[in-house]
Amino acid sequence: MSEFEPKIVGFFCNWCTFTAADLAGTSRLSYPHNIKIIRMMCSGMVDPKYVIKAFLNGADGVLIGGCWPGDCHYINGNLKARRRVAMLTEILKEYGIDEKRFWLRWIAASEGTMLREVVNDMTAKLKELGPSPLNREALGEKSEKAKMIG
Amino acid sequence: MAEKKPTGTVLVAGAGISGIKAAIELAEIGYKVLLTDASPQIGGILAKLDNQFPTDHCGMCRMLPMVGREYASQYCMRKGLYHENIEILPFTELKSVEGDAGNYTVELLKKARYIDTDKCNGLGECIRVCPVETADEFNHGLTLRKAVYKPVPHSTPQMLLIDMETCTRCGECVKVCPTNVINLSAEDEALTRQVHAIVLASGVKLYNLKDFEDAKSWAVSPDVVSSLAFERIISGSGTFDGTIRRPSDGRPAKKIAWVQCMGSRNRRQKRDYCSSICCMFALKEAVLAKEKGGDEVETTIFYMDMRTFGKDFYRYYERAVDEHGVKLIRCRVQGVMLNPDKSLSMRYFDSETQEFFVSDYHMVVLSTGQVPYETHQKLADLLHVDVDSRKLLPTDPYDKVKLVKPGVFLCGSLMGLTDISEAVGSGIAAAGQVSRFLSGLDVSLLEEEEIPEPTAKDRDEPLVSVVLCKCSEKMQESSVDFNALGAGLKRLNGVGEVHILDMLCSDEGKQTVLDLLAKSKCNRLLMGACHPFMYRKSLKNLAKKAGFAASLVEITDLSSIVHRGFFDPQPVESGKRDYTRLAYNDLRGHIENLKLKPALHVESLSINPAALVVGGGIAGMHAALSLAQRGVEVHLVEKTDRLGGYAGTRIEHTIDGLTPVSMAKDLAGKVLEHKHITLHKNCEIVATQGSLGAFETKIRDVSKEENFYLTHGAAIIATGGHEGATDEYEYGNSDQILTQAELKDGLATGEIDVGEAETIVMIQCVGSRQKEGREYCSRICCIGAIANALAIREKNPEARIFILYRDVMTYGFTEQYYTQARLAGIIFVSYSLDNKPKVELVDGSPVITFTEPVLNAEMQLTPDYLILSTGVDAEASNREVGKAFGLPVNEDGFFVEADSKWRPVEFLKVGLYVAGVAHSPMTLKDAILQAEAAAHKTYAYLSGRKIHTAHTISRVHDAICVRCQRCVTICPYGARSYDEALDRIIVDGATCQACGMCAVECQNNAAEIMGFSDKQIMAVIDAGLSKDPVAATPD
Ligand code: FES
Repeated sequence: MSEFEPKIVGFFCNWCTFTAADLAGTSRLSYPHNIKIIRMMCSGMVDPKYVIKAFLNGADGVLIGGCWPGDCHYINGNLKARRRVAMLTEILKEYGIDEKRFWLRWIAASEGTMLREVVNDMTAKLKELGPSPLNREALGEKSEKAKMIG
Repeated sequence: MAEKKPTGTVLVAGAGISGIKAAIELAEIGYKVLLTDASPQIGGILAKLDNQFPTDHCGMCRMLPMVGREYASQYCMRKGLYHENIEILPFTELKSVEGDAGNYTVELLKKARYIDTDKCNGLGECIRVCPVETADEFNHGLTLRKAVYKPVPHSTPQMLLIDMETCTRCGECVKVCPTNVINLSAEDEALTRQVHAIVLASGVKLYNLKDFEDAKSWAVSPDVVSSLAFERIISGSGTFDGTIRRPSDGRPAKKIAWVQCMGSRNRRQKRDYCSSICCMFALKEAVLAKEKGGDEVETTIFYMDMRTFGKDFYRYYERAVDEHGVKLIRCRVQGVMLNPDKSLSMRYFDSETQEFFVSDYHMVVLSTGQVPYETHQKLADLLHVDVDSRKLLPTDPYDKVKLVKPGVFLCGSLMGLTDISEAVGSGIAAAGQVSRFLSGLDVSLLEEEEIPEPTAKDRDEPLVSVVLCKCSEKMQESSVDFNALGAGLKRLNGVGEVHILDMLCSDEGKQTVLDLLAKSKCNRLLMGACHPFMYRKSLKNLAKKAGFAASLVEITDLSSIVHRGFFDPQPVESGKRDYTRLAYNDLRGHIENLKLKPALHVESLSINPAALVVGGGIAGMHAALSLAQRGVEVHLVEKTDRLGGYAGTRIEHTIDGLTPVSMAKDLAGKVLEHKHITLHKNCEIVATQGSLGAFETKIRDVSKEENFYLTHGAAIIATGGHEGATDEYEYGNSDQILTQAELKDGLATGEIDVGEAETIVMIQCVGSRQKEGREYCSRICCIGAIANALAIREKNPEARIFILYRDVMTYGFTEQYYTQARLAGIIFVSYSLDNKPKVELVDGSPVITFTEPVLNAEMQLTPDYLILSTGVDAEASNREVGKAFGLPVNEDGFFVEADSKWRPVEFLKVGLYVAGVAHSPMTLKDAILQAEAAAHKTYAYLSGRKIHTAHTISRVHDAICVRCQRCVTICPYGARSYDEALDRIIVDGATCQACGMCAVECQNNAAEIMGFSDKQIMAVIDAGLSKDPVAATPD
């Protein structure tokens, strides 16, 4: 069997992490392409249901990228995101989604290098963890849990 | 119709933050702006600073406009900027200025970049093949770059250029350029433009050690760096990927010292000024070094005075010392020695222990300041004016941003180095002055864009036209199979047509698209092109021409997928990644999103064109007049029965020759006469309701004991402040103990006679800059004390005058008065917070005991007068005014602005602004500058131009809304409110910035951001994780 390639969904804030991703692209810092980036205007705009949806669709990890505390373009959306993420992490655990699969990181626009590290890091961790219990494709449709929820 | 008037056009020379801010402000109100910069990029020094006080990160994007935000770029500003009304000309020098007020002919020289940046796709093939390597200025020579390079590595679109000094003309880059945009024989281009006003924002040069004799004692190792270079060393995009290493050998730097005042405060070198910002800069860098390098990093700052005078600066300083353990040593170090192990030694005198020490450091950072004279002289020559006695551009005595030459203004570091908030504030103030100036000329504004009516086509079933650019065949083999991609997309539901083109950016390319789209039946457009297009308006305009609604056009960056073969460490041939699939999923996400996107339209808002100004001090009156001059109706509310405020009634003279009292009288006269200003004296604010464009304020006339209401579109809070109170140092128990203001009054009236006095002692920072007191610097007391001391000296050359201080805050060009005072024999003695002077009364007279730090000996004096500098207190009524308007007031009683750096005169609530001491203690000139800025921000809404909501704003689905009002609470801008009468949630469309907090908070999906609906995002997630094969038909 070929090596497991985790799929990550990245909800990136338009003002910082999304720009950093761009920077990583144009400055040829490569990061794994198994991340699917979805542009949000602010990390505070990421509704918990988007995260759940991503996991239900078989994502092995979700990464939210926001501006550093104090730097949110919309004052404090990132802090609201942080609060929500803490709660959501608990809920996800109930459903068997390990907290190591759900990351929130502050990555400023100039921190392309850091973004690359974070994504590489996350990919490595996910490889260790193996496919998400909801990733039916990778699990070959066998997971009972996936059937129950999906 | 009468003959068409020319469009008001303004040249802003210098695209650092102050220039950018001035340009944006002018563009917002409809003037045409030419924004030039001599360097190849925009952003000025800020492009190099990843980290700024107080959050230690960036926040530049908050400078983007709030009024008509969609006319400007909506992304990180470190990448670049565009605005419909601003023409940006980087790498362009101002060569000459001729003409008179309101009619200037400027000659510009646009330097050759040798690369057409409009067409360059920024992927940098040329950089890869360029054989030349040279030092990169951006990283202060700490890294190398090629002859063809990106001046700011993180800007997008990439503004590449070729440095002909190092270029060998080998032509390799020309050969590989996929878009054929390199022309090695390009020439500089001379441009002549007519402009009505000019804003100078070029900043000043910074001290460069190598240019001066200091080099011998300092430039001994590459590990001695300037503070800006240090900024690059710790930057994530800088030299060492954000870790702190010394340049000489890349080893970690664990012991770092900062040396302040390099090249500044140096009379011998004829630089008798302070550079104002270096103290905060060094503190910030020291804190960052600790944060990035961990606790084992030792940071020491050698300083003369810690000039942390700005709002909240003192608290930052406390945190730096107490929490981060930054060490401060008051000593002027004379040089640095290089040790054989490459470490650096510095010898210093520690006044606390009275000993000389030698310490070793891994790196020494020099806080290099401004060298203004050369720049000022050059600009003065260009403008045909003489520099003033300070050798600086001659400005209006009260208006720092106004040059004596009419129609020419300045902002930013030309006023002396400024921190971000001052730079931004001065940019707005300069724009305000320009707007006032242009309002007196016969010029028109750019035409307002017509709002397209919703068309029937928009409402048809969504049908997407997909246009993909292959971005040149010349590029190395594409990693995407376009035929398969096109065929796959074509089969998707809702896709009407797929066009695959080449070189969309070329003129022919554009024409081809136009021709194709003219025949299209689709009502939505998705373009996959390269980076530059995403960030420029050209393709959007193209779509508009072809008849697509702006909100139904989406542009995505395809090139970085197409050319990922370049970026991928495991290249395509490893067969690991399927780029066609990546591109397919990406585009499919966009298509699903577009299909669900409604055609968004904007509404114009009704705005009451009157302004309310609270406070009739100098700032309030200045703001009122600035607005009234531009035809805005102003209500000026003053709680006492006279105009002038504290400065305008108490301060006759200032040290720099200003006469606030007579100036206030003059302003008051103009206020009373002005037909657009209504003055309400003896009036207090009771309550306010409403939002931008429609406020209603209840006002109490205290003398008549009755209430009345004013309606207005916006308001400026300029409530001012006054001298602080104290009961420290036996104040109030002896008539020989006075405050600075009492002394000043007494000297003016002659009630205090110092002619016979033998000894006079002044104590600074009474009750200030300490916990449980005024935890801030009042900014004006040091200079006030020096002014009084010099006045006494004039009357009595024999008296001994002592000033006991903690740090002398004579920042900027006021440093010269400190020098003057010392030359006049006034004795400055420092004391520390843990060893304050002690005052006792003996027979009713004060006796003061303090430690003389140089001798480390206790001294006792029996002064004729003891003068206390008691700082500036906020007006007590601020809390009530704050409550009435729903505005925050900080623990010190001053108003809290929206953002301490990027939005210094705005409140979070749109339509409300702050000016003068209501914001924080400041000098008269700074208060006037702020008043101008606040007036201009107000004017942007009240000018009579239509104010539209943005396309993307939030809305409420009334039918499913349960009126829980959680969205009202969470909205950071106060854009949502609950209307009891209508029993509905109301969204203020101008205030809403579409951040989406409400949509997430709402449990019922009743709150939604137009264009960012749940449905859309869910569809994007689906598409992104879809596993359908590209070629198969999804169901
Ligand atoms: S804008 Fe980036 S997190 Fe809010």
